[in-house]
Amino acid sequence: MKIKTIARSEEEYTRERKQDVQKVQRNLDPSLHPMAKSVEYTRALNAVKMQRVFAKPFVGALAGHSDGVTCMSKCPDRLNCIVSGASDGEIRVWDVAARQGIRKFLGHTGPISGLSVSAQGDACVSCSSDSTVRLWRLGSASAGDASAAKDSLAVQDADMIFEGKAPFRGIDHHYQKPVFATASASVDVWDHNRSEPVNSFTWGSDSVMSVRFNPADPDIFATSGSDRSIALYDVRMGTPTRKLVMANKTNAIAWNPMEPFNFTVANEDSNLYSYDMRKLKIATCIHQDFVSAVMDVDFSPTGREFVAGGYDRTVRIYAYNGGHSREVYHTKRMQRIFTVKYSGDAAYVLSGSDDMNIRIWKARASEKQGALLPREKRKAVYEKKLVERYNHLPEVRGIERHRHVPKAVVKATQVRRTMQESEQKHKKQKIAHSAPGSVPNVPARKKRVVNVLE
Amino acid sequence: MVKKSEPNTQNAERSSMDVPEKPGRKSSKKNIREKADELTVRIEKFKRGPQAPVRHIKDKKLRGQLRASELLVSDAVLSAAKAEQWLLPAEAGTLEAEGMERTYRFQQVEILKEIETVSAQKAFDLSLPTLGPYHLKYTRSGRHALLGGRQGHLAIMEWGRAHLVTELQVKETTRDIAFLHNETFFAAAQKKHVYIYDKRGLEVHCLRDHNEVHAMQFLPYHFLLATIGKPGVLVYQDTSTGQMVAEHKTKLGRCDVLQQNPWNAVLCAGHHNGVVTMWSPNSSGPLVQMLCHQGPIKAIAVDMEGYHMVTAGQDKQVKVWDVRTYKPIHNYFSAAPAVSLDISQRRLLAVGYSGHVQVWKDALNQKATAPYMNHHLPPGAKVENVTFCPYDDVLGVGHSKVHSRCHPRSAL
Repeated sequence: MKIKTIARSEEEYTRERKQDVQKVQRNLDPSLHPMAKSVEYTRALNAVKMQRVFAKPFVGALAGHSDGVTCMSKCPDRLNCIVSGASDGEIRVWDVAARQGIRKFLGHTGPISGLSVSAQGDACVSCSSDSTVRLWRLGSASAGDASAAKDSLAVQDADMIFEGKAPFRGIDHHYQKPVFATASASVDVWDHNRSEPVNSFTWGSDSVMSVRFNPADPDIFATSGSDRSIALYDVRMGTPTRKLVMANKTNAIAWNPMEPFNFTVANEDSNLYSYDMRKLKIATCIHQDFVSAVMDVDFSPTGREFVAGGYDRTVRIYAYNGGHSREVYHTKRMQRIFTVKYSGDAAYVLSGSDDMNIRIWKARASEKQGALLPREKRKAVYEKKLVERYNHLPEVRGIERHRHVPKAVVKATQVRRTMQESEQKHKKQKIAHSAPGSVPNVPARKKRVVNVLE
Repeated sequence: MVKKSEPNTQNAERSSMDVPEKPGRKSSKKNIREKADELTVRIEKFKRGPQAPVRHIKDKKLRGQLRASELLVSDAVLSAAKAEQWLLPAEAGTLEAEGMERTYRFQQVEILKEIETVSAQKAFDLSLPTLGPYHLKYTRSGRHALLGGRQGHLAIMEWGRAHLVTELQVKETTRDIAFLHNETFFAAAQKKHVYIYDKRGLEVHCLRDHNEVHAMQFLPYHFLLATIGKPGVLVYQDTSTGQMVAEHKTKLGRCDVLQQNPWNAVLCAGHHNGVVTMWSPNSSGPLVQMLCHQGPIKAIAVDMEGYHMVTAGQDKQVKVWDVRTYKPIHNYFSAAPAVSLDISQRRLLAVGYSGHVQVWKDALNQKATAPYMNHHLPPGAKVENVTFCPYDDVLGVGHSKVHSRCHPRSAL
């Protein structure tokens, strides 16, 4: 007779040391794994519940300003550094990891309305309502430079002062050249070495509110004016190129760093709109969920997400093409948010608000901080994919989307929803009860654009 | 097939006779082709259903997403097939007869002489003549065995190492036993209620909602303990939260036979009128009622993939059914009504009747003409239950005289 049997030696299946992990023998045969889909669904449900359990997004606060924080800027060449300006004219440089201030820039006499750091990270330009722009030298910023006592930070004076004619409302530095653009009564383009603006544009509006250079296409910048317009300019040409007029004024603009022609604007009507520069007649996406004016918007360096802060005291994170926010952060102590930034490593979000603090939040609330073991990393990736795969099911989606939101925001959202629903119903009835084609059905993305001018 | 034999003489003979050929180009190409065919066969096993039709979808975004996910699935299937081909520690083996020999004539004693010592040690007899016929159950991993005597003797042992984990005497009639999710807990259906014990032998719970239980099943993926007995009420209890999940009145009187379909966790109960009813905790009545035998059902077994169900009745018939279409496939006859049935992971069917155990190979898909293995228990012993040990070549038989016996069956 011929016999073949299983012969296992105990040694092969025993771990060598107690600290080693027990090796699990896996047989992928489907007959050994019945009800695989149900098992996976249960894992997805547990994963989404654990996500909510471990969602602790608040990391810390940078406290030190003695008036509301009005603007912030990241340093493009290093991850750790944030420059912030307050309503009392004080500018502080922070070491985010150590959560300490490094330096103070004193000099402005009015509230700081704009801040920007040059691409090389050596200089920071700030503009204020006292009609001056000041340029400050940024050394190698690190917490080691900070002096022992917390209150006495190293004070620095401005390297250069540029005088303007009207109070400045916004500033942005060019991504390559030593050039920056300011927004006041007109849009001015300055050079570091000239005390007068190199170029000056006006097109209609009596005051321009914000300026933003395009990181992917460095010579283009966009401005928003108080006449509810968004204008696109090219530094190389002498003239502005295109202007888009909306129903409400825009508070801030952010360009998508990965897609040169896409930008998102934070509007006063509590929505954000994404546009394609080449086709301004219709918005590519409307991002809803805020209940009050949106004050600032900033893209993640991946270009897949952006963060926005609103006057309703919430910070929301959206996917670049998401109509609704995927995350909302709020605290009782955080008052009106004026400025938000997405950190350079796409892991944190910073919000500067009226209560004189800059808060640091995690971009992904349930993410574990610090160096992860390979097994932890794999588990996190697997859980994320599980949730994504089963997100169409109401049980999983309900848990994933559930967030606690302040009562005022809840009430305001309900009111807005009622208003929107009744408007839509009214529109539908009108179309249904009139001659076909007589009442045009204008999509919402088109409706918000009042006019496009060349 | 590998022949286990004395090392020196045979090898010397072989080396003088066969000169190994140099692997030429033709043979290596043939090798590659063989391997590729093998891989194709394995790939079929890992495909869980046909590919989703993607071409007719109008939405470009959805079509692109589905196409990408189908590509991922086919990659996963291929890598699973390759992993199985190259990384699986062993392949299936059998007991083969040469020439005039027949496999069903091989005695256990002869088999034990032929195989290596480690495997031969897996076969042993436990003689426990006093405390009633014994039930034998294995954990899902196959490492621990649970013995339950009718007169209340319960024991867990690591059978491979001949190590007794715990032993206790409950001094009551115990009609059935079951491991819970692993060897740390087990349940015993005693005279009035069901009791749950720890692996240290401590009584942990008394489940008073289960009365006069004759048969128990534990559903491992749902952590549900299901019992049925004299009142004919099927009770499901969650052993992780302790909640009673469902109570179904079968209305068919006393029931002694309960088996689960491992593929979808549906319970099959065999009744005195020859009907097999299938239950799930969600529905109020039986899902299916099948008339299987002329006479009471004695035993049920369902294979691992949930395709075949084997039932044994008092009418000495053993019938194979397709449990997905509820159609009969084959009929076998046994000399006496079969008391216990089990299907192994490699689709061997074990039938236990009066003092004999028969193992049938390839008996489910096609009609087998002769059994694969035969075993006679010592005179006077009656089979109580037969179970295959998972992941091993062992069949455990619990019976009345010499109480637990395990013997290798030599098929993976």
